[in-house]
Parts: sequence; C-alpha cells; structure tokens
Amino acid sequence: MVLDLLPPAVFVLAAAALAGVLPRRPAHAVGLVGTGTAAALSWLAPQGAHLQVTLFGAFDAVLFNVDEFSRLMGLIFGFIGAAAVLYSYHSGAQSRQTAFALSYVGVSIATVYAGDWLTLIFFWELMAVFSTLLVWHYGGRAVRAGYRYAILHGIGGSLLLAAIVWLLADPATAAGDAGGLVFSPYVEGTDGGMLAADSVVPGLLAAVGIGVNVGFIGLHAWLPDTYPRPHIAASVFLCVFTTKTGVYGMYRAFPDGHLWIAYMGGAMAVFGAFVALLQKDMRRLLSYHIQSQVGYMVAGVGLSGAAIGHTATKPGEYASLATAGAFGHVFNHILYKALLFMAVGVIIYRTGQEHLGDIGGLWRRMPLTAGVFTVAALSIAGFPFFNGFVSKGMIIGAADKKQLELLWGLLLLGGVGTFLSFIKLGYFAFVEGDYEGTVRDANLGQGVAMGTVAGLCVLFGVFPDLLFDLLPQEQLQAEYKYTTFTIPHLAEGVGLGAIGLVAFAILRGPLHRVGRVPDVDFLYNRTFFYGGRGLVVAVTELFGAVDRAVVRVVRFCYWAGANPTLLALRVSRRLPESLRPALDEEHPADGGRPSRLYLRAGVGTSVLVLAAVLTLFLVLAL
Amino acid sequence: MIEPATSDPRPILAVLLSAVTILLILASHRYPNVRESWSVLAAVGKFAVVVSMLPGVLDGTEYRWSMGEFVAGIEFALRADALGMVFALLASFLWIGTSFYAAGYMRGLDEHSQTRFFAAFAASLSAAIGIAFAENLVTIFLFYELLSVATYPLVAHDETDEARAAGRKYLAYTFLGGGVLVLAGTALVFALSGTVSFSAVAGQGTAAGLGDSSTALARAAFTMLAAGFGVKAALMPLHSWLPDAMVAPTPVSGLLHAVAVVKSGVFGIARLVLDVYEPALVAELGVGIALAAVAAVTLTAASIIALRADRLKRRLAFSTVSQLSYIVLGLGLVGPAAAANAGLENVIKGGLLHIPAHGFMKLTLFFCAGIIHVETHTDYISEMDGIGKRMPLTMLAFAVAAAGMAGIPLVAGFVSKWFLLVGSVSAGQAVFAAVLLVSGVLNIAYFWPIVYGAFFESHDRADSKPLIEGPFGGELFGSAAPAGGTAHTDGGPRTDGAGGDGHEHRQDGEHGKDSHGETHSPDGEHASDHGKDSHSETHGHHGGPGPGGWERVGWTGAEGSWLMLGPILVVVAGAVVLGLVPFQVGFLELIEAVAEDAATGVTA
Amino acid sequence: MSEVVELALALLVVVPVLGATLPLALGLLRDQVGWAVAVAVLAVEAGLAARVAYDLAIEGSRVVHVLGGETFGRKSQELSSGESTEGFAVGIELVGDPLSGLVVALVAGVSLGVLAFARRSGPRGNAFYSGYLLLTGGLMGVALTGDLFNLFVFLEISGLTTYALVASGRSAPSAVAALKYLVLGTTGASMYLIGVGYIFVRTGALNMVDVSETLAGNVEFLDTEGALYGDPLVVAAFGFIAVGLATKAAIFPLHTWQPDAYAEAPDTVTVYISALASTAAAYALARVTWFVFTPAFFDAGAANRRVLEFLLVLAATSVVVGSALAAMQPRVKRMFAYSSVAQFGLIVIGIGVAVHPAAGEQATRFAVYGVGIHLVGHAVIKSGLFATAGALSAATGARRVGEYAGLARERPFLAGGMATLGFALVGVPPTVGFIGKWYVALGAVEAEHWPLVTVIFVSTVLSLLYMARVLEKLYFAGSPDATGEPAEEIAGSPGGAGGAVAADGGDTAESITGESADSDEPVTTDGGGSASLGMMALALTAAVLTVVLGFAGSELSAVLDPVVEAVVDAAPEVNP
Repeated sequence: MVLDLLPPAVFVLAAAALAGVLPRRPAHAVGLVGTGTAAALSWLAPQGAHLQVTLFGAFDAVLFNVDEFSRLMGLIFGFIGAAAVLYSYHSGAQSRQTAFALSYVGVSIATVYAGDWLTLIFFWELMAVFSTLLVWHYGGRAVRAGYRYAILHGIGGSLLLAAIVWLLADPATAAGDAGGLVFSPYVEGTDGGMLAADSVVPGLLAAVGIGVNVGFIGLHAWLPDTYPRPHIAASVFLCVFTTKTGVYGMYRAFPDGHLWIAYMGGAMAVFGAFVALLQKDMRRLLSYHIQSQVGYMVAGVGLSGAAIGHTATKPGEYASLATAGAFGHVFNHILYKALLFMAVGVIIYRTGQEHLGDIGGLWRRMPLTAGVFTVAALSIAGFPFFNGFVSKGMIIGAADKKQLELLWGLLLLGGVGTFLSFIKLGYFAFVEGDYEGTVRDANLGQGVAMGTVAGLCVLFGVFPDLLFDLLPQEQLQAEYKYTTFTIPHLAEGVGLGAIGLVAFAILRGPLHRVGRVPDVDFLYNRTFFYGGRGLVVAVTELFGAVDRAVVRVVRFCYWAGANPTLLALRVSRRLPESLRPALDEEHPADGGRPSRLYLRAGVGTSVLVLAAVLTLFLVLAL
Repeated sequence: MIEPATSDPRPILAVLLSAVTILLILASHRYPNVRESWSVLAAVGKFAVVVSMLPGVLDGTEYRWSMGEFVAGIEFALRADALGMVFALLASFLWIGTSFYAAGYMRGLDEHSQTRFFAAFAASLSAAIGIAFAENLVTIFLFYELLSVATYPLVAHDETDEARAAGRKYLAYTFLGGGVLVLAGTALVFALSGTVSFSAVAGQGTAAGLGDSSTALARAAFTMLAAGFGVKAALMPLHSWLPDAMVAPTPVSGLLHAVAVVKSGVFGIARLVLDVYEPALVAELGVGIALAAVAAVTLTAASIIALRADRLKRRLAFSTVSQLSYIVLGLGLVGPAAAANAGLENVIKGGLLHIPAHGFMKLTLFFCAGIIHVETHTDYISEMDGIGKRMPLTMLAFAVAAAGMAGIPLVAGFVSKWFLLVGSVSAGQAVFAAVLLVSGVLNIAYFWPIVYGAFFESHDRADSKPLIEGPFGGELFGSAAPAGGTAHTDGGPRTDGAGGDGHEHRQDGEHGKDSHGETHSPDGEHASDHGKDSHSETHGHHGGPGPGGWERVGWTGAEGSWLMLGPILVVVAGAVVLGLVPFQVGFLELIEAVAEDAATGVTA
Repeated sequence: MSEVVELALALLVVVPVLGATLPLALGLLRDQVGWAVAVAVLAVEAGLAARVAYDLAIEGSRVVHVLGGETFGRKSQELSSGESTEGFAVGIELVGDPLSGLVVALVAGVSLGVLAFARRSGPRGNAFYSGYLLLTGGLMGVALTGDLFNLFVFLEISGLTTYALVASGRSAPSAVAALKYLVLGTTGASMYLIGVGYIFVRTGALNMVDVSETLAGNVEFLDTEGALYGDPLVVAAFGFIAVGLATKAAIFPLHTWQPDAYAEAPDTVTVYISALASTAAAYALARVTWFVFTPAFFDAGAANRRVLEFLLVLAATSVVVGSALAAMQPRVKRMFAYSSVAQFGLIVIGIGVAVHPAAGEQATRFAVYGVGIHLVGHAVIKSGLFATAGALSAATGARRVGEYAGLARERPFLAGGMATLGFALVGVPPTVGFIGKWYVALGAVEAEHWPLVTVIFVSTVLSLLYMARVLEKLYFAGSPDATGEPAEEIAGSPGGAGGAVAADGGDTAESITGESADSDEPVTTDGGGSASLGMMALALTAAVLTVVLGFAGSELSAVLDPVVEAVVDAAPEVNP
C-alpha cells in the first residue's frame, strides 16, 4: 500500500528543504507539518511494511522497515520534532537553523527506519553532518565545539562503518553478500546482529563506535562540550536524537544484549549523575544527565538477552522486560529531557544567563517554567506517577530479577544522584536567592510546547499502560505482565527522593563552592592538539627537509655544470698550496672571468689521450 | 567472454579531434571568442565520440584501430575497452566544463599568452585520451610522454621563477618516470614476453610470457613500470612535483593535476596490474601487497601534510596525493585479493570507481579555489573566514565536495570507499581498511575548518585554525563570545591558556593569520617562493577580505562569472549523482565489466 | 637494370668529385657561380642516389661495381701450396647493399638540403663549394667502398676537405679548431691505416669480403691455416681500426676535436659535418665490425671479447660524459656538439651489442635496427638543430642559451622547430629519435647487458638536462632583456655560493649564470639581419622529417632486415 512507499523521513527532509528558503513563519509552519506528518505516518504505518532496494547496484538494502522498535522511535522522534519546531519558532530561531535541525530530524528518523546496516550507517553519518551544521550555525564558540563534535563522530562513525564492513566481508556471516547486513525481520537473511559472526571484532568495533554516540564513559566528553553552546532551541533538538539513535543502534547491534554493555550502562548512570551534580552551567548539567539517563537505557539493552545474568527462572521474560524498559525509557526520556532543555532554554532566553550562580529565585517571576521544570525533574528523577518512574523501574527491575546486584546498586545510586542534582538545579535556579531585574515568563508558544510535553510526562506516568501499548508488544505482554505500581517499587521511588533531599541538605554548602570540574576532554583535547601538531610538524618538516635536500643537490649540479671553472677554483681553495697555482693561472687574481678554455684539451693532450686509449686496447688485446 | 575487437576509427578520431583543434586554436589566436569556441566544440565533439562507443563497449565489444606496425613487433594501436572507457569518459566529459571554466578564468585574470595555454590544453587532452585507448605499452608510453611534454607549458605558464622551477621539477620527474622507468619496464616486458599488448585474448597478452620468465626480472619490470606510472600518480616519494605544479593556472591544476595527468599515472598502474600482469600473476609475484603498502603510506602522510598547508591549492594538492593513493591501494590489493580469492571484484571496483569519483570532487574543489582567486584574489585559507557570505554557491559546492572527500554518504566518495573497505577486509587485509578510515577522519580534520570558517565565522570573529595554530579547543573570543559564556564554563581550555598558546605560536611563526610564509613553508617550498607569495598575496592583490569584511552576495550567482559558476555547479552535481546512482551513469557498469573479467581471469 | 645501378654506383662517387672542379674552373669566368653549380651537381647526385637507394634499400639487392671494369675483377690465384683459389679480387670494388643504400640516400639528401641553407648563410666563394662537392664525393666513397684501403682513402678525402671547410670561417678560433681537427683526424686515420696494414700483412687481402673470408679461414691467399681470429695481430688490428674510427666518430675521450670544430665552423659547415662526418665514420666502424670482423671474431677468444667490451665501455662513458658536458655549455653550438658525442656513444653501443657474443638473434636484430635508424635519425635531428640554431642566430644574433630568452615570441616557427627537434633528440615518441633509442635499448636488454641498459635509459634524462634549458629559455624566460638576471636553469647558486661569487669579482656573477653577454659575440638581438627562407625551410623540413621518419620506423627496420640476417650468420656480405 501507499505507506510502504512513503518513509516518514521524506516529509521531514522535504520540510527542511523548504524551510531553508522560506522566511521564518512559513518555514516553521512547514517544519511543524513535516514532523507532524512523520509522527502520524509512524503511528499509522503497518507492521512489516518495508521498502527493499539495491544500493550502488550491488547491495541489497532496506530503506524503510517498520517494526515495533523503529515505529516507536519514529513516533517519538516525529512528535518531539514537532514540539521542538514550535519551541524554536517562539524562541527566535532563524529559519536556516530550523532547516538544519529538520534535516537532522529527518536523517535521524531515516536512520531508525533503516532495515539494514548499510542504510543505517548511510544516514548515521549524515546525522553527524547535519547535527554539526546545526551546532555551527550558532557561530562563535559553538563552531570549534562543533568541529570537535564532528571529529569525534567521524571517528565513531568510522568504527561502526568498520564493524559493518567486517560483517559484510566476513565469510562466516553471509559469504560477503549483502544478506549479512539486513536485520529487518521481514526480509530473509541473517538477523545482522554484530556478534552473529563468530569473530568478536565487529562486535567490539560496533560497541565502541556506537559508544561514541551514546556517550560511553571516556567517549562522552562531546556531550557536555557541545550541547551547552548552540542556540537554546538547537539544544532541544540535539539532546533528543543523536544519543537515542545510538541506543537504538546499540540494540540492533546487540539484540541479545551483553553483560559488559549492561555494566557500562550502570557506570554511565552513576558517573553522569554525579558529575552533573558538580556543574553550574545549566545546559552542561543537563548534558551530563543525558549521559546518565542513556546509561539506564544502555543497561536495559545490555540486559535484553536471555543469556544475561541469572537464567534459572524465566530468562526470556526478564530479557524482554529489559528491552521494553530500555525503549520505554528512550521514549520517556526524550519527553522529559526535551522538556528540561526547553525550560532551561526559557530561562536563558529570558535572562541571558547560562550559569546557576547568576540566577536564582525565579519561581515567582516564571511560575509556568518552574512548573514544567518540576514535572520534568520529577520525571527524570523517577518519582512515582511520573513517566520516568515507569521505565526506569522496568530496567532496575530487570537487573534485580536477573540478580545482578552490582548493576542494580549502580542504577539505584544513579537515581540518587539524579534526585540530588535536580534538587540542586531547581533550588538554585528557582528557589534560593533572588533575581534582580524584570524577567517575563515563557511566551505562549513556548508554553504550549512545554505544556504538551509536560502533560505527556504525567499522562504516561499515571497510566503506564498507554506506554505499554506503544512498547514492543510481543516482547512484553505476551510473555510477562509487568505491574508498575507495587508497594516496594513505590517505596523505592519515594525513598530515593528522600535520600536525595537529605543529601542535598548536607551538600548544599559545598556545592556552592565547587568550581568548574575538568573532564576527560581536558586531557585528550591537549593530547590531540599537541600530539597532532607534533606529528604534523614532524612529518611536514621531514618531507620538507628531504625535498629541499634534493632540490639543493640538483641546483648544485646545474650550477657546477654551468661553472666548472668556478667550481674548480672553489675546490682549489681547499687544496694544499702545491696544487693551487696550476689553477690560479687559469683564474687571474684580478677577479676576471675564469677562462672557459680551461676544460678543453689542447691538441697535444688529445693526441696523448688517443695514444693512451690505443695502448689500453692493445693491452687488452694481447 | 572477450569478443574479437571490431575495427573502428572512433578511438583515433577521439584523439585527433583535439589534436586538430590545436592548429585551429593557433590559427585563430587573434580572435579569442573563436579560439575558445574551438575548445568547446572539440570538447563536446570528443565527448560525443566517446559516448557513442559506450553502448557497444558495455555489450563487450571492443573498438580497435591500428595504424600499422610502429616498431618491430609492436603496433601503434588504439583500443576502446571498458577500462579505457572509464578514463576517456571522465576526461572528455570534464573537459567540456573545464573549457568553459578556463575561458572564464583566463579572461577574469586577463592572463598572458592564452593561445599557448589553450593549445597546450587541447594537446594534453588529446594525449590523455590516447593513454586511455592505448592498446599496448609502447602506445601508452608514447602518449604518456606526449602528455608530459604538452603539460609542461601549462605548468610553467606564469613564467615567474617559481613557475619555471616548478616546470623544471615537473619535467625532471615525469621524464624520469616516463622516459626512463616506463620505457625500461616496457622494453623489459617486451624482451620477456615478446609482446606488449594489453589484449586479454588468451595467448596475446603479456602475462603468460611474464609468468614463464624469471621471477626477479618480472618483479623488476613491474617495479619499474609501477614506479614510472607512480610518478604521475604522485606516489611518495615521487610526489613532490605535484604540489609545486600548483603554480599553474587553476583550470590546469583542476583538470590536469586532479584528473587527466595524475589519473593517467593511476590508469597506467591499472593497466599494469589488470592487463599486463594479470591479478593471478600479481598475486604470485607478491608485488601487489608492496604497491598497496606504498599507497597506504602515501595516503596517510599526504593527509597529514595537508593539515598544515595554508595555501588552499596546496592543501588540495596534498589531498590529491592522498586520494590518488586510494586508487593505487585498491589496485595494489588486487594481489592479496587474488591470492585469497576473495574481495577481488570489490577492490577493483573501489579503486577504479574512485577515479571518476575523485575526479568530480577534486575538480569541484579546484574550480572553487580558482573562482575565489579570480573574484577575491584570496589564496590562503586563513584569509577565507566568512567568505561564505561573499561566494555562497561556490562554498556550498566546496562543502559538498569536501564532504565527499571524507567519504560522507550522498557524495561519490562514499561508494568507492565502501567498496574498497569491503574488499580490503575480505581480502584479509584489514589494516588497509583501518588506514582508509583514518584518512577519512583526517579528511574531515583538514577540510571542515575551511567549510565552517567560510560559513559560520567572519573575518574578524574567527578562531585560529585547528591542530596547527591555536589550541585544540580553539582560541576563545573573550568578550566576542556570544551568549555571554564565561571562560570557566567552557568545555575547551581556559582563556589564558589559549592566549598563551596563541602567543607562543606567533613566536613560532606558526600562526596562519599573521604570516603565510611559515604555515605553508614546509613540504619543500623554496624559501624565496613563499616569501614572495605572501607578500604579493597580501599587498599585491589585496587578498582576503577588505577592512569591512566580506560583502554579502545573494544565492543568485552574483558572486562571479557564470562561465565559472556554471561548470562548478555541473561538476558538483555530477559528484552527487555519481554518489547516488553510480551504476546508472555508466561508470560503475563499465568497472564491473572490468572487475568480472579480472575475476574470471583469476578463477579460470 | 643492374648495369644501370652498377654504373650509378660509380657515378655517385665520380660526379661530385669531378663536379668539384667546376666552381673553380667557372670561377675564372665569373665569381659566385659556386652555389648554382653545386645545386646542379648535387641535383644529379640526388637523382642517382634515389635510383640506387631504391634498388639497394627497397629492392634489397646487392650491387657490386669494379672500378676499372673487367680487366681487374676476380681471378684465380696460384698459391705456394700449389692449388689455386677463386675469387681473389684485385682492384677496387664499390659495393652497394641496403646499409650503404641508407647512407647514400642520407648523404645525397643532406648535401642538397644544406645548400638551401648555405645560400644566405654559408661562406660564399667558389672554393668553398669545390670543397663542399669534394666532401660529398668522399662521403659517398666511404659509404660505397668495399675495400678496406679505399675506405681509408675516402676517409681522408672527406677528412681533409672537412678541415678546409672548418677553417673557411676565416676567424682565429676556427683556424685553431681546424688545426686540432686536422691533427687528430689524421692521427686517427693513420691508426686505421696501421690496422688495415696489419690485416693485409696477415691475410694478403684488402677487399672486405676476402678479408672476412680469410679471417674466417674459408679461403687462403697466404699460407694460413684455418681461422685467424685468435691471431694477436688481427686482434691488434681491430684495436687500431676501432681507435681510428672512434676518433673520427668523436667517441669520448677521443672527441676533443669535435666540439671546437662544430662550434667554430661557419654555420653551414656545422650543419653539414654534424650530419655526415661522424656519421660516415660510425658507418665505417659498423661495416668493418659487422662484416669484416664478424660476430664470429668476437666470439673467438677472451681477448677479442675484452676488446669489444672495452669499446662498449668507451661508448657508454661517451653517452654519460657527452651529455654532462653538453649541459655545461653556455653556447648553443657547443652544446649540440657535445650532445653528438653522447648520441654517437649510443650508436657505437648498438654496433658493439650487435656482434657481442652474448647477443642472441633478437638482440642482434634490434641492435642493427638501432644503429641504422639512429644513424639516419641523428643526422637529420642534429643537422636540423644546428640549422635552427644558425637561423636563430642569423635572425636575432643569439648564440648563447641565455640570449634565447623569449625568442619564441619573435620566431615562433623556428622555436617550434627547435622544440620538436629537441624532444626528438631526447627521444620522445613518435619521433625518429625514440625509434633509434628504443631499438638500441631493446638490443641491450635482449643481450642482458644491464649496465648498458641503464646508461641508455638514463641518457634520456641526461639529454633532457640540456634540451630543457634551451626550451625553457625560448618559451618561458620572458623578454630577452631579462637575460641579465641570474639564469634559472641554475636556479641560483648553491648555498654559500653567493658570497664566494662576490669574492670572485663582479664579472663572475655573469659567468655563474654561464650565459651572460660576454665578449665573444655581439649580444644585440637586432643584429645579424634575418634568417633566409632557405634556412627556415631546412630547419622546419628537418623537424617535420623527424616525425615522419618516426612513423616510418617499421619500414626502415624492414630495409635493414637483410643486414640483420647477414650479421646473424656472420656472413661477409649482405646477400638478400
């Protein structure tokens, strides 16, 4: 039917193209329509619709593949895209910025609808390009940050590309034909998991490559480095797509999960949350929380495999619980993280301040913003009856059921850190102190955008079944009925909050004093720069030296050729006295031009030479 | 699968077309318009002739034209086969755009002795097509030498000391490569196998004879030929003529030093690997892997050097050196692939497809450099911040092509790189795949600063360019920083640190903005040259933005003469088309034919 | 028909020699008739040559004319051993075969062509043209004679006239050069004569065929037993002959006369002798080596082989050193002169490789092709170059590389001609220069003389070394007045040189460039009148000819096929 042939991304990209040339208002209108259509199509798209083509005349590719996962992603991407476009318009984004943003959304949607690895990496790389453009567009300091972002994602993309190529080339998977790359369940062929090959190499490459996108610890520095710099609306877009696409890709790469990935997720959750606690730049703080929250999702993906952890009872069910949790958290997190960036964006938009130290006591002046912020904060912290509570609980539950206590502990600890830092953010921004000067609250459009999203946060928090309906179905209901609101779970949620409050009461003083904390990029920026410069200078100088040497030799030969007499004169200067006079006769001391006859053999000499040659002949002959 | 070649004059016709044009151009030297129209006519005609052979060649027919015996046992013969068509198609198509562009460029700068220029240009193209269609080593050598001769006037065109030095270097290198190495290798091959024909018909080829002869001699011949063609393919350490040759007018740098001349070297290597020594023999002799190794080194080193070149054309030149090695790498990997009997078709496809891919992309880049020079007299990257305002279309094309260079999808570069990667991995040579990926990242590293500098910065609000000048984090603007960001919330290094770095670099004389000299002084420019350049650039032509920065010009093409803009847009469009449907535009189909022949040759 | 050709053989020698008297004789009546007479005579000569060359080269026949008719000729000879042999030739044979056919055509063609040049430029006066005709006759004799002693005679005839012509420049340097040439040339000739003497002593024969047969031991004129190849006297004889002819062919280090002679002689003379003098000597060397001492001789013993290889070493050295010296020369004519040293090195390499024991049939074949084609090719190229240089200096007064700056604009055609010829000299296909070099190289490769192979191929770059200077000056050196600047082909002086230069005083700054305007000639570019149509014509004809011959490569080699067969099976004569 028609929907098979209409990948939702097409509409968004078309909208992007238009937005590039239209003035602001129509541009954003078009964007709204495009993203909205994409969301609607994702909603309507029939299960199993897919569009199979041949790429480069050599490779089977599935440009468009609707299964539960891609559909979920497409839906939320489309929706939040629409909300963000609305927000951008009312935050004074230029239409070209929105055009970049829309292209970014478009290729992201195309990425999640990809049915094979070739298509996926194709759009994956484009995603990096357009997000870079989106960052660059703001100019100034964002430019260099965008450059760093581009380099890092270039590396990540290359690694993923390498993994895919390995997969394709490895005879163990598909004897090199493109079948090995297709993971769409509706096409005959291998599942395309990165570990389907018996060699571990592609898995490793893919894990690290995607790890750049999801912000593995050590590879995460681009997050807090990039996201705080561009336009506030740009941040809203950025915080959604790259990392979540990463999570999605991670699941495609490891459909059966992997324990290491799960633990990495836990570590990210804790690391992100607590480093965030030390931040004072609001968007930087939120960026660290992206890493933290993505940590939960990564943990969920890592757990989503029957073979992971304790497998005695119902391994399959728990695995699917983890999967569902991961994707549920993707869905929810997109909502509340976008909401947080919107709220903070409003603050920056109104006050022009990025730094917690420069603001305070804003709740009186911008109650609406404070309200939605609270909703979002409670959601991200996983407080009961907010959507974060649902999905985070599923992941933690899965870890619990699989009896991975360490991981379980990490995830809980991350929860505490999240509470802490959002109490801090909320307290410093809205409660403590007072902001002199008049500040207006969010304007209507921003309000509408934030309100809608906030509403959804609460809605999914109170009626989790609505969420479950969206989640991969047979993964969940069929096998294992997950009940959200159980007493221990509620207690857990409230308890974490309580601990957070207490801890903040203790830490408040110190948190005031803490300055900027360096991150790993502090190290590798310098390593890259000085190492890189060293290398470049070394290489260029080496080649330069060689080249100059060659040129000098050649020049000397030419020169010597043109001035044999001068050469002889120079050489003679270095000769002992005994030999010199013979030459100096040729060169009058008055500096006259050296005679050119010098090289010529006179008649006598010639005959002598002739005789010599003849003698040689005869000697040889006899 | 090889049908006997049908005798057909079109190959020689394609060669003679532009050869005749030389005379017409010389004859009409008094009437520039007539003269240029000759060029255009010849270009179109040549392209038409080449295209007219395309369907036949795709069906496996080979058009052959022999002018009888040239020297004992060796015919002077031209033959249009799939491989040759790839090169001929590329060169003849791009010549059309270039002949317009050249007209615009030479007039825009009001260059001297344009007649000589256009005549030599036509001669070069004639020789290039001859190389494409040459049927045996001697014929290809003939045109190879003619190409060297015909290009020399273009390199030395400026008649400055620098140009003459470059021309001298060019002649020395190319004749060392052609006159000495290629000729010697050819003679050796002839002595060993009794023929020099490329013909793939069993018994007529050279491979059999070479296979029987002593391994050492066969290797020696391969080495000499590879090195000989490698000179024009700018394989290190034989590359250093290419960056210097950039003193030539930009159309020359574009078509000849990105497409015709350098590709002729690469093409020669392709002939060498695929036709003279066939893959099986290459694998047996183990020379392929060596060639690939050289290519890998070149590829990396050139990219690294490019990072430091501040003169745009020079950076492009080193990028060319690096990209050419993609192709050579693919051809070198034919050996291991044939040995492993895996990935052979992919490495060939990747390598050969990169010939047109790189041709289109790099020509775009050079065209952009040229129009920038004509319109703004700006040659140095450090002067181009914010130039996107002045020349939006140009820089857009530049950005697209640069993305393609880095192997970003949608542009031609991705496809060929993809094939290369798959092939190298499946041939069990993953290390070369790694090299390719690294080079991709390096491409981003040295191209994208130009792009963001052009579009997202302005002449007064630009950070110093990455890696060489300024800290990795970029110099901070202090008060200029928007959104009131304060230093200690910044992800990058601290302000003071950056400032300190900046100063230190200025003392090192490595700060691109202040002194052009040093930033592009390494990799062998003569001290006198860049001293003079930076002078003439900054004061002579008033390079860079005026005191008021770049004036804003709309997207309607007011930025420069359409004689130049048109070709740029056409060529960049070609690069994208090639990246989306490489098969449909014929190139990939031709290349697949080549690859299948090679593969069957191995398995059989 | 063969009678006609027989007669023609004789006439080829006789006509110019007799014709040489006419200018003087008619000169008594009125002066300035020389040129017309020469044209007439050489026209006849050319006609004859064409006829003969057609018969010899195209038909591939072998024609023998015995001077003095049947009274001499072959007759039986009573030996002391009692029995008699057939075929002892008394008297003087003129032998025409494809090889000599090529040379005859060349000599006739060049002689006639150069007259076009001489009309304006050459030394006027009848004496000159007498010498000119005499020289032509001598060269024809060298090409046609089948007798070792007569070869000496004709060599001397051509030699002596050449000395005279060189001296006809009437300037002190040319006189010196002529003297040098005289002394060395005569010494060389006498070396040759000594060699011939030894051979005569040993074999009792002078006719090339007979000598060859005797050396091979097929016939005996004296009491000799079997082959004489091992005989020290014979080997020594080859040594003498080789040295003698190598001197005349100007092989390093016996070349010393040649640069002066070429450089100081009047342009016309230079054009002529550069095309023919050394060529004739080299041809003689080839004929003697190939057909008198056959490959069998060099295979006969270690000593024979050593001698040959020494000759090859000289030739190789000649290639390298000649080119290097050429690259050093600031004056164009000297430069081209030295380049001849290098080119004849190539030819002698070919001559040697063809008969080297290591050479298989293929190697011999290609070497012979190479020698034949490069002899002709180089003659055309080099005379063309000298003609172009002459025309340029006549037109603009430029005689130094430096003064060529920017002449391409004033004299596009001459410049184009020089470019073509220059690239032909370098060996760029499809010119004849490439064909010759290709065959010589191929021969060396087939014979697996790797050092020689290296030299041959490197010679390309070496010759580029000096040609590139000229062309760059012509086309890219901007306006002539720019010559004051330090020349680029030196690209400045090496590190530290600058200071030293200053130390050497102002003038040396010029001599560094090696091409300053110095006292030898006037630099005035306007001086020297203009190049006549004839000069231009000759120059351009030569340029065109190099390309045409380049495409005629296979035909030329076909002409030489009989020669190849003869050399391969060590036959004393070319029997098609």
